[in-house]
Amino acid sequence: MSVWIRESIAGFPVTITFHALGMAFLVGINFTLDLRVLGVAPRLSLALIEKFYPLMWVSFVTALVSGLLLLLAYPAKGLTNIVFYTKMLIIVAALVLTRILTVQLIRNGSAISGTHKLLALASILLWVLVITLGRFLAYTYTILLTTDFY
Amino acid sequence: MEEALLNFSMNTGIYGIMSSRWGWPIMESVHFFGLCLLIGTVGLFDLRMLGFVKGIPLSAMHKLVPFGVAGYFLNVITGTMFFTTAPDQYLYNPAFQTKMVFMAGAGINMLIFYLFFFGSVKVTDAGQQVSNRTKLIAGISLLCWLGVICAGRLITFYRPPAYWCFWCG
Repeated sequence: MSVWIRESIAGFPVTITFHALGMAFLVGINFTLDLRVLGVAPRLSLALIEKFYPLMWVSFVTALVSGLLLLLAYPAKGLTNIVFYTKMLIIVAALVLTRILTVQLIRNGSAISGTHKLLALASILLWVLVITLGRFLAYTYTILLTTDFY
Repeated sequence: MEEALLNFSMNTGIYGIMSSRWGWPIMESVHFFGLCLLIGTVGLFDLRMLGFVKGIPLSAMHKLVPFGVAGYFLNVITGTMFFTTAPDQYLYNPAFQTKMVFMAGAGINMLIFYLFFFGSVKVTDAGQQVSNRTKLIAGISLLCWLGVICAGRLITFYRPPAYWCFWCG
């Protein structure tokens, strides 16, 4: 499987294209939530933005599965790079922020406070970091394949 | 053509930025940020017109669109930076050419939307549907932008030599 993704003509390009599509919708929907919390489109209720969450989760799973396949193609490349682990941690942090904003503003119906706006801003920054670190993964690796050593 | 583009890149200082250690990956990251803004705003607007989350009043949702437009211009700028710095990697590249076709499609589609359909869309309230023709426009928009993303992502896998492009002269 690893070899197929790496060496077939379509394997790697198709996988990375799905990764891009998944990321675009995952991050895009999060941006929309964050923009709304920051005061854009005030007549658009947050509960309605939540209706896009199923799409967000489908995108998340798409990005996750395709990401795991990309990792499988070049396991040593990602696993020996600190940028990879940093990216994973920041994804978790960004999803925690999504969860906090959702629970407080939609489930509990709290009014949007300055703290929430700060969290929304942090969420945008974290997703930008995820994108940037993901892009940098292609430029910062030190080991491409362990078999290069044999 | 190649030379003119490259000269533009060099004369404007773009070439220097893109050739620096982290210039290219940073601009790629900005490019993806712009794309997420576009999908998160215009993409979701298209989905609402197609009938998803009908509870959303389209007039209220349209306030998000300027952020998508900002993302679009960010991407025109960063895209121009890639294109002019390495024109030979793009001009003869079938993935890039396909991407430009989708871009043109999205552009023409957007003009048609704002000229003929936006008037009725902006008064579409919660629970209301847009006309079938408007849905077609929304579908074309979404497909074009998804096409732009897919073709754009594939650019890097096709690096044909110049002689492949028989119409480039």
